[in-house]
Amino acid sequence: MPRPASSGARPRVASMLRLDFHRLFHTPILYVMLTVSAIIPALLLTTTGLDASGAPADPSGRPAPPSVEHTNVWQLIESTGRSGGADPLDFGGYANINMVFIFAGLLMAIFVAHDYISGFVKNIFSVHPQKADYVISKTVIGIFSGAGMILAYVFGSVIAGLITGQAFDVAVSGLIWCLLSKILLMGVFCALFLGVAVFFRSKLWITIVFTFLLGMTLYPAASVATLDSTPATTLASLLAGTVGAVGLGAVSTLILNRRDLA
Amino acid sequence: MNAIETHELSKSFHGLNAVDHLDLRVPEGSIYGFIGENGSGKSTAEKLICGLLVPSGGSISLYGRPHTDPVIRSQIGLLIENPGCFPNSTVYQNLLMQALNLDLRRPQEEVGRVLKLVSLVSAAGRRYKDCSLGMKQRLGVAQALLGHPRLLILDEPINGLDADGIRIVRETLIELNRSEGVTVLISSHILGELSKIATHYGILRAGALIRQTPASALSAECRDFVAVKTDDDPRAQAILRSRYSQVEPQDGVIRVYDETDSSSVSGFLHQHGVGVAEISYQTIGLEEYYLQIMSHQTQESRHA
Repeated sequence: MPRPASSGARPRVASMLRLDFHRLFHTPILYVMLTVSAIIPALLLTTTGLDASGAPADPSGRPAPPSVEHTNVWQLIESTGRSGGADPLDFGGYANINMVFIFAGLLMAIFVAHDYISGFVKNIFSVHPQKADYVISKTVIGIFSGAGMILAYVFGSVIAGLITGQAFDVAVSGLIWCLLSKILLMGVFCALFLGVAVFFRSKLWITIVFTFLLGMTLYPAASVATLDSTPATTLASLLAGTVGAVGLGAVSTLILNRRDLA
Repeated sequence: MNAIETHELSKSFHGLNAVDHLDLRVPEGSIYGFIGENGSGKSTAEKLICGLLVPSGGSISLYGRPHTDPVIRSQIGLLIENPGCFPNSTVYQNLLMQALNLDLRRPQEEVGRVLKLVSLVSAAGRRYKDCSLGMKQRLGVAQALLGHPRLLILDEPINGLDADGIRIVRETLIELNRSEGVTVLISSHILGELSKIATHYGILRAGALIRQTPASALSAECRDFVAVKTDDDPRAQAILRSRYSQVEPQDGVIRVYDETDSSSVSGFLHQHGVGVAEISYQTIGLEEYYLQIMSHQTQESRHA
């Protein structure tokens, strides 16, 4: 079984992807992030104090907590106007679906840092001289994981909505375009987080802090995808995701090419 | 053809030359012993060859092609410093991930093969962080051997291995070199062990190559001698010098380089009334040869 001798980009990237997917499914971090993504909407719905009609359940008639204005389950997915809400201490406002963009960044930070901490990066780059292979593969892993987290968040919302008896009124097409748009926007975020991760390499905690701060600053941008999304929204997200991923990916490749790896 | 050829290869860190205009020639099919003291630049040179460091100057070619060529690079197996393994993954999983990284067709089979090769089958399910130093080192060798590489670059592969582990690695390398024509660039501080397998040597000092020679040429330079210890060494030296031209005291014995027959030396001393306490026939080994070169270099640099 000699080593294959192919210089083509496709087999090289394919082998990197096989490795990264194998690793992704065999390490707990993906499952932890998926679980957290599913639990957050459940916690939000069960602590909103909404009754089935969407009215505040507080019998005293006092206004509901500031982060709670949902009238049905799908507003958790839309989360408009609440991403990093006006009140910086309104933590409930942060805990919407767009938070999974930060989770995807944290997963990437851990994933990349462990390559460097373990020294496995030596094995990777000794046989993959083209650093773009690494960047493409890791970005795909990030998008895939992020998409999984978005779906886990939806799943968590539905289950919690069913349990708490929330309303499910929504235009299905708007919901689908909204989710697709968010998944496509993951490309920009993942490429950005990857840049941070390859810059700080084995310095995991610094990477995590930067990723978190960057994520908190930028993730409201993902709230452009609302339940009123149309194919045009998705197309714009595709464009933004692709351009962002390619541009930022080029920066990551440049960082990797210019710096010593071990 | 040379498996590895560097031309004026240089690497500096913060203005200090770790590798200084290195012209390395590793012939295809050779086992090239890379020798040098700590900090001489061996690991840095190996990392440069594997593309893990960006050269400050010079060029590297592998099998006549640039070292950045993905086809050539996919033919390298390496173990530099520590094995690159995920601590919470098992021995098997770490090997499997490297097999996937190499895009091997039947990765599980290949992992099984190398596990047998380095006698780690029984430890396949053990997590890397729970392995002993010797097991980790053998795992590193196994990773390097995955997929029958054409070129092996091994940095201190027998560090931390017990006698049996050293034997396994040695025999495996010799077998791969003979049966598959694998070229091996190996650095080690255990020069006695290196001398058992190396066909060529390169001696590095302060990042520069001070000697590059086939093992056969080195053997010719490593002189044989008769070592004798007497009850009156100063007198014995004077007597021996009357008959032999190359007599040198060293390490508490008198060395006679132009004689290989110890009985002749002892008989001659006896004729002159000098008692012989010990006498033996010896050869300068790689280690002593290396130390002599290093000492010579130190003296030269002092004079300079």
